[in-house]
Parts: sequence; structure tokens; C-alpha cells
Amino acid sequence: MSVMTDQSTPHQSHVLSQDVKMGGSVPFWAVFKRELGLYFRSPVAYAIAFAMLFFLGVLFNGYLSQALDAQAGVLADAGYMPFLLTFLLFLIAPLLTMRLLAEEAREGTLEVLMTLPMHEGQFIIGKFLAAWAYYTVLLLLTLVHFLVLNSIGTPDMGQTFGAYLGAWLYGGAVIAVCMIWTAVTEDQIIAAFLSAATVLVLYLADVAALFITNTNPQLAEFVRELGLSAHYGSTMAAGIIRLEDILYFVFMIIGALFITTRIVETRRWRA
Amino acid sequence: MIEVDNLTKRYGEVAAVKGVSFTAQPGQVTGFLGPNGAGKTTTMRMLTGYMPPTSGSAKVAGFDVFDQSMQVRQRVGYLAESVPLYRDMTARGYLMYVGEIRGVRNVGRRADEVLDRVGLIDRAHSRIRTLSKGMRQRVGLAQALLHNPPVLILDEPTIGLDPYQVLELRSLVRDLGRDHTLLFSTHILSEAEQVCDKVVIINQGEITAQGSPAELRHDMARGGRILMRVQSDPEAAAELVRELPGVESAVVDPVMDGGIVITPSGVNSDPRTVIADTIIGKGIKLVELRPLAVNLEEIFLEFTRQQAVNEIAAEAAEQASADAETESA
Amino acid sequence: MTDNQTPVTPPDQQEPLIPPAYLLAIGLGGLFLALLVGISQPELGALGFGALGIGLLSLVAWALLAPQQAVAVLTGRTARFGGVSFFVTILLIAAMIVVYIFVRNQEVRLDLTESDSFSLTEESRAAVAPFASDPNVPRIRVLAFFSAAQADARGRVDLLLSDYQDATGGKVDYQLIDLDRQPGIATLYGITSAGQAVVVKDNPALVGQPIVEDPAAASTTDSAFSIQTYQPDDTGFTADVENAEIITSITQQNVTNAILRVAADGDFKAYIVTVQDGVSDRLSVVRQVMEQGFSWTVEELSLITMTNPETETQLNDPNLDGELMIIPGGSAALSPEELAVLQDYLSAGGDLVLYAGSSFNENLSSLATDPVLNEYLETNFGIRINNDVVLDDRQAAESALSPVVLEGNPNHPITAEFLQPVFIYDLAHSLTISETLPPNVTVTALSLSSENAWTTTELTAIMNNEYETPADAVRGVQVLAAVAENTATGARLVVFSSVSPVIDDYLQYQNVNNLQLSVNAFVWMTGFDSFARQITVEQPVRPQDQPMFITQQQLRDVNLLTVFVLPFGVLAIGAYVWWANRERRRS
Repeated sequence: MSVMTDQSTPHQSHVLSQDVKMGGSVPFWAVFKRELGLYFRSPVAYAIAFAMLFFLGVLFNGYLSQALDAQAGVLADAGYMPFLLTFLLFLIAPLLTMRLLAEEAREGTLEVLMTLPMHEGQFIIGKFLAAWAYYTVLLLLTLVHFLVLNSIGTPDMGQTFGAYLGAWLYGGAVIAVCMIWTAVTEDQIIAAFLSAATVLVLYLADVAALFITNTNPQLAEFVRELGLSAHYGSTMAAGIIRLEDILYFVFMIIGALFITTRIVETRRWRA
Repeated sequence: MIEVDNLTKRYGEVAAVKGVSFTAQPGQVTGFLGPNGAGKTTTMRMLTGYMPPTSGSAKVAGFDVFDQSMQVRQRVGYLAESVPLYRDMTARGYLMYVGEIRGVRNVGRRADEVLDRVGLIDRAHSRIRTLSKGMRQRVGLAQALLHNPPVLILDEPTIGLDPYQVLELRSLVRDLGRDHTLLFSTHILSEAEQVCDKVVIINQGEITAQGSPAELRHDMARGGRILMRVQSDPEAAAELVRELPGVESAVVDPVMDGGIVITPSGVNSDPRTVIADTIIGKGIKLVELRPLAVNLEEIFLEFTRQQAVNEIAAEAAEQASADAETESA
Repeated sequence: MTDNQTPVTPPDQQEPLIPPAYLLAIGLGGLFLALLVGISQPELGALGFGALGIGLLSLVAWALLAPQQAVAVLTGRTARFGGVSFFVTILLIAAMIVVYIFVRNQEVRLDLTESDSFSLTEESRAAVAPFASDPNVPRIRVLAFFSAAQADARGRVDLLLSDYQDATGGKVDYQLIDLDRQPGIATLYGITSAGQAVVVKDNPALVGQPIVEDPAAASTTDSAFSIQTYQPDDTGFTADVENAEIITSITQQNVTNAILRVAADGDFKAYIVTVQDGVSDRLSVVRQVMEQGFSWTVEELSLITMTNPETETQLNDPNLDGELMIIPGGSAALSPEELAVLQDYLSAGGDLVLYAGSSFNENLSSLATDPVLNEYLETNFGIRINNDVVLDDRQAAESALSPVVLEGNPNHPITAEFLQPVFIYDLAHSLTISETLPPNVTVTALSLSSENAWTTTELTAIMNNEYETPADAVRGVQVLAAVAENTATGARLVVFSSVSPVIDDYLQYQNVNNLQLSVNAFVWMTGFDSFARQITVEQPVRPQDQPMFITQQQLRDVNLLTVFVLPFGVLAIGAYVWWANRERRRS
């Protein structure tokens, strides 16, 4: 405390008059670095990784045990792990994203950030990229399973690449959608719950399409293509890259981040 | 330099800020004074670019807060009212983060400098959640100073500090005011009087008065009302004064704790000598006789009286009873 | 949205005919309607395009009439924070949907799989690509049947089949059919479960003819659905239901082979020679097999006609994939001219099936036993047809005159497939195979009588029912059918000692294989079977198709790694990080 009294004497003011070198600001990169660092310091993120790896490990061994019998004709399917991961995303993504914006809003730190010379978009992109990067690490961890598979059988490399690329984009789209809910509410639990529900709905859209396919096939096709599964399971997971699938995921990311930005802006307007 | 012109913020039908206009000059501390909920924070948020105004305009360091928000933000240091910080970061880490977003290239050195400036250099690597309220306030201030902005906007910086910390902070603010345009909000009248070169009084979203504390005192004194206190029986004294020439009215005001508020009839007349002679001549013990508005507290009350005299009275009564309770306790 | 945003209209400004706000509403309404139509209808249509046009025009008019409003919408604070922000978001999403639909219709896709599971392999492409320019190949359609739940598989097959369509320039097209919604089509082809497909060709000649449904399928046919006759669909495609190929598992190999099989037929021709007292009026079943089963062209002509320069038909046509001449019995010898035609045909590599008619007639001889012909056959193919009749009292149907053969020659393709055959040779001649064969000629006996058979030339006695088996009859194995092949010319000759193998009469006996024997002979002679086999594209087996095998020990190691080391390692790192952070907080 006594230090401050000394500081407040007039002769100290020259300290502030020193030059500040400005420029070259890439705000989203700073946000990205901080958020990604937080993931690697957060016990929750490790718990997610543990739960995911344990679950995948058990299923992977169940899958491999079929190959004990050479006559069973089990083919090495490297798309299995990324496929399971995309299914788990409805749990993983909300946990990764729930605090991203909700916490900033609740703690009030959003107010300070929004008075820094940084567009909301940069801020949201930085946060999104961090969550996506963490998910990418999770996805890359499943390469261990791939390497095991590769030592036992002969997975199709092209299919493997397609499946991983698809799972990566899929994760990006899901995380972006979850960002919307964390921007809407300050309550992390509500954000996580609504995110999980949204992702499940998108995941099950093709099932929903089945129910209406007899009454309105046109609408059923629309609903199916709106969902996530139609753009992954039948195409990329099998090694087929369709431009429209890539566009779907990319547009999903752009659209969801755009909406998130709008919500944060609107909250500023109403704040 | 801050120039505010007819700034308005509405939430639906409710206007939080109604057509506020004022300026804050460089090298001065401008106090933004008003009761809680008067629109101080809303105005400051609009000036920092956090909240877009509904209408009207404001220029900070020569840039429009809406159309040139980024330029404004680069030139403003802002300490928000609740001092929101990332609790899991270290003080220095937080400054590095903000500095990186701002694009401060020599951010490491700057962080050390401002931490030194606010006296926190020895706690630079402590996590913010372990710091005391006063230290956090200073981390927030360091954040506002990091990029050496020409304009500083501090929203209630002394709130929640202990008296010693308040004194330290006030001297820091005075010091910073010398080479910055410093806008500083408070609801504590004495603080504004001590620290500010200029005071803007806001109530219910509208500016009621502005000027230097001396100017405001002078304005009130000039043709203003007179306060008189007597030892006993103020009603009788008021009766006497009312009869005097140059006096339009004299009433016993409960708000002034039994003081008699005298309104002179002429604009430039000063009937004080006549009143003093009369009262003393009648053998009444005169305790006090002075222009009503001599300190900022009274000016504030005076300016807000017209709008909400009833509310103020009620509040004052409440305040009085509360004070009495605390005293008795 | 805001009070001061409302532009103040100068009093002297002329009031526009339509208030700009109305135009804005009409414009947005039009775009919304167009979007609705686009989502709910397969094509935008008049309504959709109309709404789109009116919407765009209204927006343009609004922007021209009230430019300050338009500018404010795009740049003002209402754009970023107000309700217009909502519209901007909707516009962005709509734009993305439009781009998506456009790109989807372009069908840009890339098959990354090493086995090219979902795009045509080089082999398949090479096999089907010539279809595009080959006028002889009919249009071919692949009908793939799926249930609604098989969207994934359906998507993949869609990819594969569209590749066929592209590679053949549309000659091969496809339809994905929902088994639940159109069960009638599936029943028509005998498809029973989803995930199967049918390859069918266009056959305009069938229009108007009745469809012969598979009797098994007909019993399960929905009574409401029945196609009486072949009719072209709206693309002019008359599905040849009878000759459709069913694919039970839709893989590229199966699809390619089925397409090739369906496309392959149609280039074969069989001539039935017009002869005196021939049995051509009793060949309807064999003809049906050739014409409808194999899609061959069958013509009944005299030998002279076949070489007449003024007729369309010319023997030894090099454009044909297979050509076959059938002589169905006959009582009179060939004229020298006819014989010359036959000889030319055979020496040029022609294929002939000769059914020897019996000699039970006035002349006591037949076309096949004509000495001139036999001289030629013996010289060139090592086979002689004797003017006698074979009797067998051990293996015979009804009488000794109908010897029965109970085994086929396992070493010849024509008879190899018969495990326990029954062949009846009614009123058969015996065949003699020469001891010494002409060069390049091989002769194989196809059917042999029992050892108890004998021959006799006492035809009149038999006709008059006065024949008594002589005690001294020379019993022994008799050759009843033989095949000769000249490897130099490629000529093939099959001689049946009787017309029994080809006529309709034996169809009523279920265990008699006479017709199959004839058909096998036709197929072998024309190379029809090898033609079909040669076009079958075998996909190379790749390492990816090898099943995995893991030992117990390996599985234990993998188990340790993926269920314990990896997850708990991550957990341990997390615990360490948490602990390290705790420590730092305390300091």
C-alpha cells in the first residue's frame, strides 16, 4: 500500500509519457491463444478428453475383438473412430463452448473487451478457433487408434483422410452452432443444455426425415440435408468428398458465427 | 477532449439518458456527478464505444463514438464500474492479453511500467482472484493506462475501497488528470469537489448543471438564496425576516435541518446585512448567515430540487432517520 | 426503430405514387415466397420465379424511390443493431442456401478411396465407355431399390450410378426407387428386399406385347398394380422386364457385369433351315429360348435364300458375334446347290447343328443319311450318319426304339454340367466316328447308348410292326450324338442322331433334359457363354478388402494402450496441471 503513495507523487508521471509502440494488432490471435491456453489448463477439458478416450477405447476394443476370428471378415475401417467422435460431439461441444461467452457476460469482462479496439467478430472467431483447435487435438488423439488399426489390417488411406477431414469440419460446424447459445444466455448450464439439444436435433434430422418421407418427400429431403448426418455418414466417412458437404459445414460455421456476432452486438445495444 | 452533443439512449420507451451535452477538456479532471441510476454509467458506456447511442453524437479525441468506434477505442482507457477481470489470470498476464488485443508492440515493458505506476509490480505474477478489492481496482486502472491513451474514462473508481485507498486513488486521478482528458464519475459529492476541475451534474438522465466547482458556487451565490440559522424558534425569526425590505420569502426548510431559506426579491440585492442587524437587534441568537450554495453538496441538492423535490425530501428524511439509528446504535 | 432515424421529407418533395415502405414489404414478401417455393417444390416454377422477380423489382424500386432509407438500412446503426440486423442475417442465410443448392446441382465430387468404391474403376470405365457411341447398344437403366431408412447407402449408390451415367453419355441411366412407396415396380422385377438393383434395357419392339410376369412374383403383386402390356415411359424407355438382370448386392463389379450382360445380347443369329418334312413347326420352345431368353435373332430360311445376293441375310456375317445354322431333320437329300452353300458355310468357319430325321418314310432315307452329304461330313469332320435305327431294350422309354441316355460326356462343355441327365433319342440313327480324322479336326461323342443297344436296317419291318429282335444282333454301345470341331477354320458341327433333343414334345417330362442339351449346344457353338464371360470385369482384389486378423496377445496390448494408458495418461496430465495451478495460487 505504501508503494502507491510514492507512485502518486507528481514526478512519477513521466513513466506514462513514454512511447507506446502500436500496430500490427491481430486481436483474434490474442483471444485464440488465451482461450486455447485455458483449455490446456482446465481440468474440465482433461476430463472431457479422458471420458472420450475411455469410451472410444472400449468400443474400439469391442470392434477389434471381432477380428480374433479371421473368418469373420472384419475389414479395417478407419472411419469408425472419427464417426464415433462426431456422435459424441453432442456432449463434447457444449462442454467446450458453454463458458466461452456466457462467462464473459456474467463476469462483465465482455464490457471491457468490447471497449477494446476489436470487432466482435474477431473476438468470436478467436474463441471459436480455440474451441475448434481443442477439438482438433481430441480428433488427432484418435490417430492412435488408427495407427493400431494400420498395424493389424490395411485401412483405406483415402477413406481415412476423408473421414478425418469430415469429422474435423463436422466438429467445427457443431462448435459454431453451440457458440450461438453461449452468446444468448449468461447461464452456462442452460447454454450447454440448449447446445446439446440443438446438436442432437441436427444429428437426428435424417431420422426425422424418415417419418415425413411418405407424406412429403420434398420436405423430408430438405430436412435431411439440413441435418449433419446426411453430410457425413454417407459421404465423407466413406471417403467421398462432395463439394456441397464441405460447403454445408463451412456455411454452417460462417452462419452460426455471424448469428453469434449479431447476438453479441444486439446485447451491447440493449445492455 | 470529449464533446458530447445531445446524446440519448433509450431502452424501448424508457430513456436512460436524455439529450446530454457537455465537454471535457484535456489536462482536466471532469467529474460526472449524480445519484445512482442517473445515467452516468450509460453515458460512459456510450463514450467508450461499448454501447451505441440511440441518437445524438459524441466525439472522443476527435472521433465519433459510433461511426469511428475503433479509433475512439484506441484512444480511450476505460475502467468499468464493477472492474471486471479474468480471475484466473495473473495481473501481468491480463495486461499482456489486453495489450496484445490493442496491438501494443512493446507490451511486456508497458505492462511492467503501468504496474509500477499503480504500485502493483510486486504482485505482477499473482492471480487476480488472490488480489484484494483495492488491488483489483488498480489492475483495472493499469489496463486503462496500458496504451497511454489521451482520454481516460473511469466509472466510480473509488467505490468499495477503504478510506485510505480512496485517498490514494484520488491523488492518482488528480495526477493523471494533468496530462489526460479524464472523465470520472462518482456519486460522492465531496470527492468531486476535491478532485475535479469541472463538474457535470446529471440527474434522471439529464444534465442539471455544469462548470468548475468555483463557478457553480459563484452562480449559486450570485442572486442566490440565503441560509440563516438561529439558536431557537426559527419560525419567529422567519416571521421577522419576511417583513424586511428586499426579502421576498423566508421559510423554515426541514431539509436544511431547521435552517431558514431566504429568497431575496431583487436579482442583485444582498439583504444579508439588513437581516443580521434586524435579528441581532431583536435579541435572537444568530448562528449562521450565508449564501445557500457554498459547497457542492448543496449545489447538487439545489439543482436537483426542482425536478424531484418530493423525492429528495423523502430520501433525506429517510437518510436522517437512518443516520439517527446508526448514531443511536 | 429510432426517433431521429425517420427521414424528414421536405414539404416540396413530391409524394411518390407508392409509399416506399409498401415496396419494401412487397419485395421482402416476394423473396420469402420464392424461398418457400424453392424449399417445398422440386422446381421453382412460374410461381417461384414470379415471386422472385417481383421481389427483386420491388426492392430495386424501393432503393430508387427512397435512397436515403436504403443507405440507412445498409450502413446505419439500425443495420447493425436494429431489427434490420435480423433481415441481414436472414439474407445471408438465404444466400448461402442458394449457393449450396447451386453447388449441389453441379455434383462436384471426389472419390478418395483407394479402391474407388464409389467411382468407376478404369476397368469398368473401359467396359462401358464404348456404349456412348455404339448404336447397337440399347439404352440401359439401373433401378436401385432402397427403403427410406437406407439414406446413407442410397447416397453412395447414387454417386456410383451417376458415374456410369456420365461415362456412357447417358446411355446408361438410373433410378433410385423407394421400395416402400413403389412396391409394384419391385414386384414386377421380383425384387424382394431393399439394397438390390435391376439392370434393364430398352426394347421398343416389345411395345404393346403382354408382360409375362414371374408367376411367383405375380402371386404377391398388389392387385391394384398390374401392367398389362409393355408401354414406353415418359422418356421413351420400354423396360424389357423379362430380360432384366437382378443384382442382389450393389457393388461396382456386380453392376458393371450386369450392365455388360444386358448390353451384350442382340448380336446373335440363328437360322433354321427350311427342309422337306422338317420339324420346324415343333421348335417353338427352343425358338422362345433363343429369341427371348438370349435375345437372338431367329430366322427360318432356305439355304438358297441365305446366299442370294438380293436378300438381306448373308451367311458368315462378320458383324455378328455368333451365327448358328440349325437343320431340323428333313426327309429329302439336299440339292447340290444347297449342299454347296452348306459346304461353303462350314469351310468358312460356320456352326451347324444337324438333327437327323428318321428314315421311316417312303424312301426309307432322310436328309442326314444322304450319301453325298455323309461323304462330305466324313471327309471333313469324321462323322457318318448311318441309315439305320438304334434299338435298346435295357435303357429305353416306351419301346426299344426310344433309347435313353443317362449320362453326359463330362469332358465336353455341352454335357459337362449334367450330373444325372435323361436324354431320349427317339428313332435315332447310329453315328460312326472315323478311325482317322482329317487334320485339325477333333471329334467327341456326346451321348452313348447302353451296351445292350443294337442297330438294324430293317426299317420296313419295324414300320409294319413285324420286327423281331434277331438273336444274333450285334449289341454294343452306339454313338447317338457327336461334336466335331475344326480348329483351323473354327467350324463346329454337332450331329444329333434324332430330332428328339430339339422338339417341343419332351417338355412335358420334367426329368428329361433334351431341350437343355440342345440349348447347351447352341450356346457352346456360338460362343455365347464365353462372350458373356469375357465381358465380365473382375475387380482386382486389394489389400483393403482383406479381413483383419488379431491375436489374443495383440488384443491385450491394444486394450492396455487404448483403454488404460491413453485415457488415464491424459487424466494424469490433467491432474498434474490442476495440482500445479493450485500450488501457484497458494504462493
